[in-house]
Amino acid sequence: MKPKKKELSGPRDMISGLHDELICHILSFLPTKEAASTSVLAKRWKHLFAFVPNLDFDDSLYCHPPRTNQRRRENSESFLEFVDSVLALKEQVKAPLNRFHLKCQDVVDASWVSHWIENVLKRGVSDLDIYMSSPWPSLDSIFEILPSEMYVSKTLVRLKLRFRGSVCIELVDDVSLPNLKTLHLDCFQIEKSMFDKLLSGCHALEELVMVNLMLRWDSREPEPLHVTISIPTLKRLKFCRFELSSESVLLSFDTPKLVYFEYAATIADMYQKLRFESLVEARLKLRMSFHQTETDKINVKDLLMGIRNVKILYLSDETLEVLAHFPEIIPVFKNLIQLTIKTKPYVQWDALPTLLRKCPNLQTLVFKGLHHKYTNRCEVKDGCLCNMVVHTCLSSSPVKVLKILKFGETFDHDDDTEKQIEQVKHFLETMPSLEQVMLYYNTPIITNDQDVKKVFMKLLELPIVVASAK
Amino acid sequence: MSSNMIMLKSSDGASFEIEEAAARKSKIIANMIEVECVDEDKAIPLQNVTGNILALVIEYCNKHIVDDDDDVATEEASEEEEEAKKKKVDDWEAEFMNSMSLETMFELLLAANYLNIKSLIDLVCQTIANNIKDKTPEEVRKIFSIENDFTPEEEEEIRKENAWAFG
Repeated sequence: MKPKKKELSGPRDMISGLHDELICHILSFLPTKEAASTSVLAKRWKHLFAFVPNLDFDDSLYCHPPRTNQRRRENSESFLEFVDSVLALKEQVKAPLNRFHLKCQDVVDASWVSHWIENVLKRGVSDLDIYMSSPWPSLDSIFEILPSEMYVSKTLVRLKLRFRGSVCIELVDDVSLPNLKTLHLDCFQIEKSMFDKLLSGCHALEELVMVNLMLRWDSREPEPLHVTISIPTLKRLKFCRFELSSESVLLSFDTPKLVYFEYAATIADMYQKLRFESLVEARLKLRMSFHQTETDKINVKDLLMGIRNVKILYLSDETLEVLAHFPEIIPVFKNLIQLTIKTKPYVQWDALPTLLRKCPNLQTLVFKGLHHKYTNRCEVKDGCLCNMVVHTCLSSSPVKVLKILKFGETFDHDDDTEKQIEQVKHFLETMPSLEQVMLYYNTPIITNDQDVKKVFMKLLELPIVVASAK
Repeated sequence: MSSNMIMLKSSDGASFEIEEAAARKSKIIANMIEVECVDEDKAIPLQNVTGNILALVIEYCNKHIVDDDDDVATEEASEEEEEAKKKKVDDWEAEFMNSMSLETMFELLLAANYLNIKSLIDLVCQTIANNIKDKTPEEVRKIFSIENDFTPEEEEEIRKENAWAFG
C-alpha cells in the first residue's frame, strides 16, 4: 500500500488506498445492509463487505416503509433472501464470523431464523443477539423452539435473546457453553428442570440477565418451587420474573463473586440462601404481593439481610411502599455510601427516616424525582423528611452530597416545582454535613427558558447551592 | 500525574513534546518505552507521520489521557453523570473530527493504524462510516472519488443479487 503517492490532478481516491482490513473495519461500523450496498461501488468492493466479521441485520431499515401487508410480505421475503445470500457469500469466501445480530419484526417464517442460528453457530460465532419484535400476534406462537445447537457451543461468549411475544426454551440434550460469559434472556418460558439444566451448563458465566422469566413446573415438584442460581463465576445478575407470575417461589442465590444485583419480585417470594460476599451494588424493585401473608415481612427481612453489606443501593418507589409497612426490619447498612431513592407522587416517605438512620456512613443521597405525599406522619418527628418539622434523621445525617435527578418533574398540580424548591431548602438548612447539592433539571415536560430562569433565580436565594441544569 | 515528557519527531522533521502517559496510548510507542528503546534526550522518529498529522494525534492522546483518569476517580457516578461525561467526550470527538477534511481524516487513520492507537482508529473509521451511511452508491462514489469500473450490466447483476440492500 502506497497511500502517500502524490497525484497531480483531480481529487484522490484515498479510501481505495487503504488495506482491505481497514476498509472492512470502516464497514464494520455500518449495519450489514449499508455495508452490502458498497458492493456496487467498484470491482474491488464487490466482496469486501463479506469479510466484515460482524453481521448486523435489521429488517426495519428500509427507505420506503411498506404500507400494505402485501408489501410487507414482499419486503420480508426479500430480507430473508438477503440474509441467506450474505451468509452464503461469507461461507464461499471463507470469511470469519464473530458477531451475528438480528432484529426482526416482519419475519414471516421463523424456521429461517432457526436455520441461520444453526449456520452461524457452525461457523464459530461468539456473539449471538436475536431480537424478535414481531407486532403480528400470530407469529408469537411460531417461535416454539430454538435450535438445540445453541446450547452446545465452544465459541459462544455472548448470547442475547429477546422476544416480544415469548419463546419457549426446550433443552433436549445436555447444555455445554463453556465459554459463555454473558447470557441475556428476555421474555421466555422455561420448565424448572430445563432452567436448572441451562444454568448448570454455563461454567464461565459472568453476566446473567433474566427478564420476564416465566417458570413452569409440573405437579411433581415440591411446593414451594425451589429456584437456585448457583454460579461461582457470576459478577452481574439481573433477575426479574414475569410481573404476573402469581405463584411464589423459594429462591437461593449462591453467587459469591456477584458484584451487581438487580432484582424485581413480589414480597411473597422466599429465600433459603443468599450468598453475596462480594456484592457492591444492589437495585431492588419489590412489589406488594396479591394476598398479604405473615411471611412477607420475613421474606423482605431475609433479602435485606442478604444485601446489607452493599456500598451502593437503589430502591424503587414500590420498594419504599413495601418498607413503609414494616420499617422495623430495615437492617444497618454499615458500608452503604450511596443511596438512591425513586419517588412517585403517590408514595409516602414513611420508611425514609428509619432508612437514613440505618445508614451511618452514607455520603451521597440521590432522589430520582422529588415527589412527596403528605400524610399524617409528616408532622410527627422523624415520621418523614419533609419540611413540616425538623427531623433528627436529617439534622444528624452524615450525608455530604445530595443529588436530585429529574428535579422539577411534576405529575399534577399538587406536586409542583415550588414545593420541590422548598424541600431542597429544608435539606440545605437541616443537613449539617452537606457540601454539595446537585439538581438535575431535566423534566420531560417541555418548559420554556423563562420557567427555568425563574426556578434558577429562586434557587439562588437558597443558602448555598450548586445548580446543574440539563 | 507524573509528567514524564518524551519527544516525538515527524517525518518532515518537526519535534513534539508529549507526556509519556499520553504517548502510551500508542501501542508502538508504549512498546518502545517498555523495551527501553527511548533515549531520555532523543526524539522518537516516526517516519510515516507528517507534522500536521502528528499534531492531531497528540491532541487526541492528550485529551483522552485526562478522560481515562476521570473514569478512575468517580467510580460511583450516577448514570446521569456518566451520560453527561460521555456526551462531553463525544462532543469533543465530533468537533475534532469535524474540523478536518476527508483527506486529513485518511492520513490520520493511516497514522493511527501505524502507531496502533485502537480508540483513534475506531473514531476515524466510525466517522468515515458515517459518510457512507444513508447514501446511495452514486453519492458514496462521489464523496470518496471512487471510479466505477463495472459495466452497467455487471452493476445491475450485483444489485439484483442483494436486492434488499438497495431497497
